[in-house]
Amino acid sequence: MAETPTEPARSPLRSSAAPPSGAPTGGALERALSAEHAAVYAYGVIGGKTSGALLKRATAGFDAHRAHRDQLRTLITRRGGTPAEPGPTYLLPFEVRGPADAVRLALLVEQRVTTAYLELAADRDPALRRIAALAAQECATRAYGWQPKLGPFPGMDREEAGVDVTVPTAGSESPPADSSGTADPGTADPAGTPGQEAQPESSAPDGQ
Amino acid sequence: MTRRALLGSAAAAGLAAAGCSSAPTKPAAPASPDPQTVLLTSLIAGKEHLVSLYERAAAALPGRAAALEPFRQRHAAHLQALRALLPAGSGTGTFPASPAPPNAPASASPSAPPSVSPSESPSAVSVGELRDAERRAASARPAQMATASPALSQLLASIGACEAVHVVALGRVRG
Repeated sequence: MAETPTEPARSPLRSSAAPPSGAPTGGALERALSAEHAAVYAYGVIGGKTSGALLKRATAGFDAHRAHRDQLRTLITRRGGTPAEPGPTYLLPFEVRGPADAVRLALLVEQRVTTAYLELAADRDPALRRIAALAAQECATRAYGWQPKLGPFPGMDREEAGVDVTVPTAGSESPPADSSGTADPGTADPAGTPGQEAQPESSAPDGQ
Repeated sequence: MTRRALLGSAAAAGLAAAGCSSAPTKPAAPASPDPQTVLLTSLIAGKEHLVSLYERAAAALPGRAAALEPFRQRHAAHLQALRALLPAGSGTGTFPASPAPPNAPASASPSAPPSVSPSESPSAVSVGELRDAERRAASARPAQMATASPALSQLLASIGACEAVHVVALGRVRG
């Protein structure tokens, strides 16, 4: 159902009020919240473009992300922080015109949030690691519900899971010129987040 | 926000930590084994056991072998990633692929006999048993992450996510 990926490596769902990147240790929690804020927004869009079983799935996803958003808010507050509010607008990576786009967006959202939780999984606090691990499992499972494809390392690119991990310098966040044609200023993502379609080749549909 | 930066730095931190802890002691003297290496060795044994379960299931269920193969492959990828985190010269990274050592930790799976090879035709493994094993593996990850290096913790979170999906995906194989 998903067509050939035409979306370039742009950062979907980046809030127009994106927090500064490269924050030290505590930042993972804030970035997870930011991802959940974006997920809640996106699932609102997804719900608006689906019906029937897909809408049911979208509603469940919306509720789940909202619950996690609140959980993260509480965690940040308990640690003396101030949880960020959702951004005033979110730039979707592509226009969601119908159910197929909605499914694509849902997959992208789940991938993004999984990645945010993997980041949190490296936190020093074992309690946060646990929360992150369980949430990542939940997101990956939800993504599989949207589309039965699975790579070995949900939330990670293949090369990131292997040995040769390149470490870009901290300042590499500055968006390069958008090479994609459709210019959305500020959405170029040097991390090059591929869509679900770009999973390793072992991600063929299972269980058919 | 760049995952590569993040995972990379975490990996570097983990490797650096492993390097620091093993450097001062002589490599030949296993007086106090690096806890990360101990943890990794146990995780590798558990993963090897999962791979072997899939091999046994495929042998017992030829009709499902093709459907089970992607699952086995993903576990094999996990195994490779875990082995890659073993510090060089730890001596534990070179053991053979399939049979788990007889002294595999209890966390691997107490119910399964250790050190089986497919030729010994051990008890057949059903898809339901694979599912249970995946469920146990996924739910054990958070506790394993508690003492892991940041890089290993991240890897385990991702592996656990894969295993959690396997629980669902195996339901389709079964049906």
